[in-house]
Amino acid sequence: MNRSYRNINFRKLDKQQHYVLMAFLLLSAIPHFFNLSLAISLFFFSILLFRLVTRLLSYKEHPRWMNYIFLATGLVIVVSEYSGVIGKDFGVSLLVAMLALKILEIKTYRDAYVLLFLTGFMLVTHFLYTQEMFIAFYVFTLTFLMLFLFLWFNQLHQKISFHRLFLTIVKISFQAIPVMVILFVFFPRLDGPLWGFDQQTGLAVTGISGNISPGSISQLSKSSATAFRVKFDDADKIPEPEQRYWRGPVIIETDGVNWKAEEKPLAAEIRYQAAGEPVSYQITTEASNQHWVFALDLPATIPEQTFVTRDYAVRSKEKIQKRTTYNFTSYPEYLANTTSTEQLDAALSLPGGITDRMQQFVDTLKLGSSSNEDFVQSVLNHFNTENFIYTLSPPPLTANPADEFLFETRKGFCEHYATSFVLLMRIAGIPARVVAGYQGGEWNSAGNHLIVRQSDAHAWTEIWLGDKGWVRIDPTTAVAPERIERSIDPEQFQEGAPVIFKISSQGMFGSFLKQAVFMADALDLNWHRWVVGFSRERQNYFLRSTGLDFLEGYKLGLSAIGLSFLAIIIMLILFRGKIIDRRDPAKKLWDKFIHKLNKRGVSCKPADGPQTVARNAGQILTENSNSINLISRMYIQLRYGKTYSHEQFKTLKKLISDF
Amino acid sequence: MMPDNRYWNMSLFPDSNPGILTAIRSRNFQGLFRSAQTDKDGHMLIGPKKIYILPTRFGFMFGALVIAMLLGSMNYANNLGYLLTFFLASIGILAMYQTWYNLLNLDIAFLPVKPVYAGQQFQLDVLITNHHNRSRGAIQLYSKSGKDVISHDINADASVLFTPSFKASRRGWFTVNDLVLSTQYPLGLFRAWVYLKTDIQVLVYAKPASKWDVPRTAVYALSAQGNKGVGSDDFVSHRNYRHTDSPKQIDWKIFAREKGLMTKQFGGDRNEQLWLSLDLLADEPLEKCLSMLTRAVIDADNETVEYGLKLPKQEISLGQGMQHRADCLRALALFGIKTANE
Repeated sequence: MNRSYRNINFRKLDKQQHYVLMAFLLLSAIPHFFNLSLAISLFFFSILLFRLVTRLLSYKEHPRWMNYIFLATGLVIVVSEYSGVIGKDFGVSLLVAMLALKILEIKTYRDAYVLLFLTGFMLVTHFLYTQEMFIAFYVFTLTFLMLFLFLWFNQLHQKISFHRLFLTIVKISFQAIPVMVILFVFFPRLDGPLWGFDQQTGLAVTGISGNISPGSISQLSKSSATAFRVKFDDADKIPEPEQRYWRGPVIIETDGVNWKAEEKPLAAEIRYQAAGEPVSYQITTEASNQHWVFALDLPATIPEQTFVTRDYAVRSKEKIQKRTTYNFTSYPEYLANTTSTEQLDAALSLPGGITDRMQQFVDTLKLGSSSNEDFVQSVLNHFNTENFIYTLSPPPLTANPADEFLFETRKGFCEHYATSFVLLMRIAGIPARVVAGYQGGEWNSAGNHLIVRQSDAHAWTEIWLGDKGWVRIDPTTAVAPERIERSIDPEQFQEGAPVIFKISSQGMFGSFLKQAVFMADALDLNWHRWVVGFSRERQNYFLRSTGLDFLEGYKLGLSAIGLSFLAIIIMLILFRGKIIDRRDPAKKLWDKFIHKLNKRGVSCKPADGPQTVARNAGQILTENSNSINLISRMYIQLRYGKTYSHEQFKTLKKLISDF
Repeated sequence: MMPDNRYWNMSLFPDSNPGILTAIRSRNFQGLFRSAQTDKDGHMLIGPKKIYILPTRFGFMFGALVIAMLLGSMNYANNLGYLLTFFLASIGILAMYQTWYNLLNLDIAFLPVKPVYAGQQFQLDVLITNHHNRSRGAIQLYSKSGKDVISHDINADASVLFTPSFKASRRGWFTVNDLVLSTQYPLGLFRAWVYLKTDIQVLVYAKPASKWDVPRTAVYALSAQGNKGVGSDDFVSHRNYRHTDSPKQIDWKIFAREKGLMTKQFGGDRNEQLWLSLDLLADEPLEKCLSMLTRAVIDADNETVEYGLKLPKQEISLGQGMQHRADCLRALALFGIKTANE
């Protein structure tokens, strides 16, 4: 099959190849239709439809001037949809529109290759929008398809079966996987962006924030969305449920209604006396679009990209706009007895709106208690013995929530108990503050990690007890001790009714379903920990835990290159072809002939020449002596003679196979 | 895409080749390149050091794509972007190796070519054998001076006959020295190629003139053996094969019909004697004379004339048969040309 070499790239594509390219482009663009504006998607579809119709009706090209009209239309749409902002959306829209236009002027193989490359680039842009597992699967499948199309277009004239092309691509892809993994693990990650990327502005703030007002946490508690997941390094050192306080913003300031944490808290040294064993763990938080990271009470070592306030709250330096994994160590038991007078003064300041009955209530209890501890206990007893109700939907409170809650409605969620408890403490002269965060979490037995949901959002208090330092008091436990043992079931609540807690006894189907949900959750967490969230921090952690932490900076880069080449060499050695037979083709035929003779009782020594073999064989197999002679003479001529003809070779092949 | 990168690829100093200065003086840069050479058995095995490899334009595009993806992934700290980038980068490196490997250890045998007449197209039979247990995709063979590219797959442990065609323009020796074996398999991102240094010389007879119109003086003599059936000119009959018979005389068509081995018998007859000489055509230009004489030799051979050839420095005595014809045509073809091998 002869073909002009120079013109291979300018060969025209046929209809079928056009359709394949269009289908590939469409499949590659589909996820973007959920990200980009409707106008871009419509533009893309109409161009594709136009091309399809013109291809179906006739194989003629549409007039060239039409392309310019389409181009102008595309540009106008992109610019009008994303005017002013040259960002991610603008770039991706432009790419999608240009790809649609490219399909209009596809004629030759060269164009097909260019289209495939551009589409390949579009494939990676999907990850800018979502990094879920299914989209990764989708994109990698299409990448595989792209490689297949490379091979197909490169080999089109060969008429190789699809099956073989497919196997070729499967093989090369499998060889590429270890190399990819090594590069992925060892490639040094940058701290910041190269040229800056647009901050996502539209993201809603989720989870516990630094502002608490009556009803803010109970609102959050109705959501079963995951706030973060915790994986403990040591399975034996998992804190008990009553120790699982995930510390968020510490709130001191209040106007009597709203409680506000410091806007811009400063970084401080971590100073407290640790007791007991440290717990190390990784927290994978969901995007919250704010700064708070919820470490286990109290954090001891924190990741690089965060800092600790003087109230032991952990803050990320950047807003958390995507899922991120952090490594922490905490001491669940501690003695936090260092503080400043400034802090203590702030924790004593009373807002306006302290009513007489609040003052009287405190005074009465204070008279009857011998110490501050005694006083705290009697307040908690009050919550416990009086008719206080723990509910997700408390009745609305107006001007003075603390007073109304304490003496009238007596229905509230943790923020009601915590804030009014802090006010009562402050009236009694005990420095007190509210801590917002999460409490508890659900154990995922499939992934061996803890899922902390928004419904675990919680508020508790800390009071200063002199030598004992800041002591955690959770007034909610006085009303609803189950809260600490179990999670709230956010799917079962009624207006004004007491909170229903999750009960762990379920039917067989229920537990099976639960297990499946846990497994999906575990898969999701691991996907994040090892793939999507494999940040510089995680990379350092991995290197430390494997003893490879001497690889830093350029050494890491060099080892990435070196190891990947090593992997390539290993792959190539594993998959290399072997020379199975280096003999001359004529010799191969002759050896086959010798084998046949041996089977028929003629013994041939390896040193025997063809003539000797023919003589010996002719004596034994007299009836075949003619063909034996012919074969040997043809062989001699083919192998040692001056005239070689392929016809003769084929004849010898036939003679020997017929023999 | 075209292999015309030979001019800037000179930095790869090949072994056992003339120096750069010689190449510049002689304007023959081909000698600077490594090329596969034929061993004493007439085989050519493509060794690892003989293979050149460069990215194609699609390879460069692929590289640009990978770099663009890497920069994007770094900027957005996008791990899935990294993953895809590294996947494609690995594929690229593996494809490079596979392209190179696709040519490695191929065994090339050039089958002898019969002499041709000037102006004729002829085929070179190149038997390429794959000794590996892996098939080779899209192996291409072409001559740099020619236009056509022959492309075949070669299965594991199999041979494929490539038949590039050439046009013999002038009489004398036609040297085949610009064959290139190349491949872009599997992804078309790289192109590997080997220069094949063959020592093939095809004898090109002078182009036969359309007719011989010089009156000739014929001398007749009877064949000594008469019509006894042991000459080699005219087919007489078949007989059963004997093991001393030449395979050339076997009637392969009959064998192909599975009717056994039959030997063709030929008979000789009376002879005419004819002396051919340049002197007969004194006034014509030399090339035309040689053409005319070539025609005369062909005609005389067809007419079973016993003929001889007289050239200024060479004389071939009266004779007959294939070998005699070949000797005469060869003498005419190489008249005035320095022979390469002798």
